[in-house]
Amino acid sequence: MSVDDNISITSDFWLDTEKYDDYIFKYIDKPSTKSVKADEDLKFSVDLIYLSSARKAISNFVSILTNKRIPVYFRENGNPSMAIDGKSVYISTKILKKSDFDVAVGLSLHEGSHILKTDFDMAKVMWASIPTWIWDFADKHKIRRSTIEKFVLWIWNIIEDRYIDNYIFNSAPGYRGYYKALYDTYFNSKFIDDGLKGPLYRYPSLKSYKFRITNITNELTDLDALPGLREIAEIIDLSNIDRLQTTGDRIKLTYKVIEIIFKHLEKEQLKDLDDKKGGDCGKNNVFNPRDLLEDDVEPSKEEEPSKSESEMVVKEIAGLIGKKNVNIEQENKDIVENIGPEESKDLSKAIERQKEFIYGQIEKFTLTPKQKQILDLIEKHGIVLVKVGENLLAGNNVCTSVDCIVVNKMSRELVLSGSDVFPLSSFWKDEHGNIKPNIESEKAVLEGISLGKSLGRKLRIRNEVNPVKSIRKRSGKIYKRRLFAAGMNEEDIFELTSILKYNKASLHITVDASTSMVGKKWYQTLKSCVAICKATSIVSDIHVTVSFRTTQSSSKHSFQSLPYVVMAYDSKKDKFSKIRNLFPYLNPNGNTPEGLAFEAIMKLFENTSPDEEERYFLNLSDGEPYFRFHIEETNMDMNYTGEIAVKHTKEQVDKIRRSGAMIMSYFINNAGDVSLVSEEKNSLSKDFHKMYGKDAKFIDVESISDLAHTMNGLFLKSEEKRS
Amino acid sequence: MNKTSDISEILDEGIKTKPKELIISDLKWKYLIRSVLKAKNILLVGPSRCGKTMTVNAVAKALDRMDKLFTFNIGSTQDARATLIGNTTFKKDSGTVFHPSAFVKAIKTPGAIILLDELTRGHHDAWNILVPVLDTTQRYLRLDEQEDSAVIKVEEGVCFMATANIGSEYTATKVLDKAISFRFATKVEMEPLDKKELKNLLNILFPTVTPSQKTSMGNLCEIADHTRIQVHQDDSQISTIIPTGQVVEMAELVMDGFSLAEIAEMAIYPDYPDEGGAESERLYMKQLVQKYIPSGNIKNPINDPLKNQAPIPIKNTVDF
Repeated sequence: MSVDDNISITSDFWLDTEKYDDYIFKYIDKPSTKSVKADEDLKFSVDLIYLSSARKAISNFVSILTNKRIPVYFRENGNPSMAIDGKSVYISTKILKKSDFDVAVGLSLHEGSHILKTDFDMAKVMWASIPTWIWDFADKHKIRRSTIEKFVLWIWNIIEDRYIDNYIFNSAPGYRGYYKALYDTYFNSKFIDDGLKGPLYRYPSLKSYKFRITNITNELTDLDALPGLREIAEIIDLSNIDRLQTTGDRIKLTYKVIEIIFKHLEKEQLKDLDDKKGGDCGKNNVFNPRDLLEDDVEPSKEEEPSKSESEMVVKEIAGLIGKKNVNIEQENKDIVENIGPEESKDLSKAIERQKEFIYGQIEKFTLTPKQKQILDLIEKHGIVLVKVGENLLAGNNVCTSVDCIVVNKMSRELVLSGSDVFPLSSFWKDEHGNIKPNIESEKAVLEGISLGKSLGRKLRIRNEVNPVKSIRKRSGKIYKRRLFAAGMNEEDIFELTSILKYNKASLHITVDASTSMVGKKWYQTLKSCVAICKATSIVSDIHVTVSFRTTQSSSKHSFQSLPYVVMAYDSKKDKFSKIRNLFPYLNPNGNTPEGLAFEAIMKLFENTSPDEEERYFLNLSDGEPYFRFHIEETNMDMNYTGEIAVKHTKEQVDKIRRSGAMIMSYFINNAGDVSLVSEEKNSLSKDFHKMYGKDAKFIDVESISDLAHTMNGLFLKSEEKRS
Repeated sequence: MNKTSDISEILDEGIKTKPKELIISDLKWKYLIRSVLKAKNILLVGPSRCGKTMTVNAVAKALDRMDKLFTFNIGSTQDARATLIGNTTFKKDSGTVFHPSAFVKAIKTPGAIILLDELTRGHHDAWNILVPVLDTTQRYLRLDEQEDSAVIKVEEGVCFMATANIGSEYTATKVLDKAISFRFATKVEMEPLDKKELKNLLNILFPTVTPSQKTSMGNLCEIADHTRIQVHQDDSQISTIIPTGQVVEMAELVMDGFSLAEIAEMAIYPDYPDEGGAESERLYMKQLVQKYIPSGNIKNPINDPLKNQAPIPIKNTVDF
């Protein structure tokens, strides 16, 4: 089984349904054929929804592994590049492929476990407790103290990491695939394998020891590549690394490893001096610490410190072939002769990646402030994608599915964000900079509240409690008026009283918020919607939820907009003041995805209302389904309109009906345009009839009596159905 | 004084009577035994299938009162009056006849342990009938509303033990009336078992298992324990736990040869809704279960080089 196979098996465990796959990997699985920068690729909020889902999934893994809520964030511009800060895990936004995702999970599991297992307080002051003999060594060989400090920290990191990795590997056997992906990326790449087998890093230097110890877990590691390496492997004893229970234990072991390295570096120095005395040892015949420690010594004034890892590889090779004073050009020539420039470049890149991993640095794929703002909005408001419209036929095109954006929570922050995450807001600023809603909308909401109070009184049918007495029963309480019958050999002299009252109910109001509703239609819709909400708040035992539906055009293709549903109000979670304060800022925008939006709403509606509740589904719309979108698979634009849309919407309405919900659909027309309502041949009202059948209502939605009559009719319908 | 020391001795002895398969602290057990002996009303509160009813049965068995254990499922009672008081019927031959309920018989049995199961699911009518019965100063059951109607006194030593689910996830339950709640002097909270306790329980219930069955059962305990911890967190990803009773049933599936993945598919995932994409509870549970299912034959990447002794040839050997 190939490595890739293993990775896919691992991811597919929880992505085994198409649904999950589409939720997350539709975005992630896009082949990264071009070198993309996060900034370019993530400017669309839909993509950020996918990214948010991936982050959430990674966050779950960390939480499950550690049994703690360790937050996982995307790295932002200006953040430190570290993957952990002792409390949180930071990840790169480069999750463009499944394999990237697996590595990201592995990395997050690793960093999350550090938070659980590593004593960061001790690690922070580790430099202060470095034994004096280590500093003495540095001074003696004129090595920068900072270099030695880094070296000590590096070795400690390696030991600490192996302890952590062993913990994860053994405590979460199911996550081994992610870990393998991580190791394959950082430790077992072909270039590292080649480096371990090759001639490099076989000359005792700090860097050689770093490379060899870092890759000591690689199957191709050669314990004879450096003096003392086998001894180091023995004292690290990877098979029993779990014996090092505390960070203190791991630090103590670090010093033992350093002691062995220094011992062999000193030996090598003496050996080298002897060699040089006997042969060609340079112009002055004086030991140059560079011979042993490469570029870790303090640079002389004439010599610039080395800058890149690839340059270091070049120098490494130069050292090996005994041409220490050659210039870079000459060194490059030597590399070509020995391992080739491409291979050295690849190896240096692989080493650079390892360095990032060891130092806990994350890749430089970050969020811009704008993207961060959008991502925060997505996560705070539970914005997810729900797959709808599966196998929808439109002419010769078949749509496999469409993602419907569902906003689970609407807040002031979201409404006033001005972002394309929320396409339904409209507001202006007064001379003092105060944000104000549309005056007409505000007026409609206030009128709706007033109308609702009156409507509530008329809907009190639901508050009625009716005791029903049944007589002539064979058991129960003696019915005095039938007592005489006892003397006539009759046994049914008892009475039973049962109380009949309305069950708890759940009412979902869904409002068409497309551009066609703009103007008067919108104000009367807002008014009646608010009125119904207010009225039901007076009536007992009704759970009301309100959603607005439209489309959001935020995509790379000109027509690739997506259905959009915002759950604006939930009487179980929100106060009524939310309607008064936020609904005035709502403004119609976009198209009418009707049936597609209903599909998404139905999934939410089922979740929010328990089985024992009676369910009502109330639609307010002007009856014109229209939506145009792009099918990526066929690269075609598709029209969701006319017969196709009407048929699909009808199917969804039927499904809602079959699920046990009572439906009512108010047709919204321009106020006063009675002809539109009455004219039978009018295509709008005809389509409306087709979609909602007998549940279509052509009334003046601003009229209390009409609303009360139809609403009460709806409530009574459930009673009839029950009886 | 003597009485006190007698109780104390009985309680010390009572701890030894705690059945092995009942994982409950010695303190709670001692408290329960003491409450039953003193005929206190006891309310056992906890999530569904955490062992409340089992505890009542264990107490009755430990005190050798199984023949005096009467169980009434208040939650499934349709007609509270008929269940708790009885029915009046009229026969043309014998006239009006009152048929007392089994509950009447129970309260007339000295030393009876009466289990009022699923009390929070009961109808208000049932609660109202129970109020005087449970009241320590009244302890009677009136057969009819009329003043001169017969009254049945609760016999000496009768102990009422009730079970209740409290929490928003139990949608068919009602908030327990304070008047009822206050009449239970002894309240014992039954927590779901932690992983150690679950493992102990499974060890007792399934003493002979193969190593792989033991591993699977251990993993089930770990998964259940994670849900127990997770559900109490402020930003919990899941809304319900895997209760003890379900873990035992899943362990039986292990014994019957089901794999952990199969068990999860049949007995875990259906309890967690799958709506909400990456936010869904089911996705979280899938990720949780995955932790315990080894992914293929993946070798430990932390390879110990000392166990890999084969000489490795050096490529492009350079003459040192």
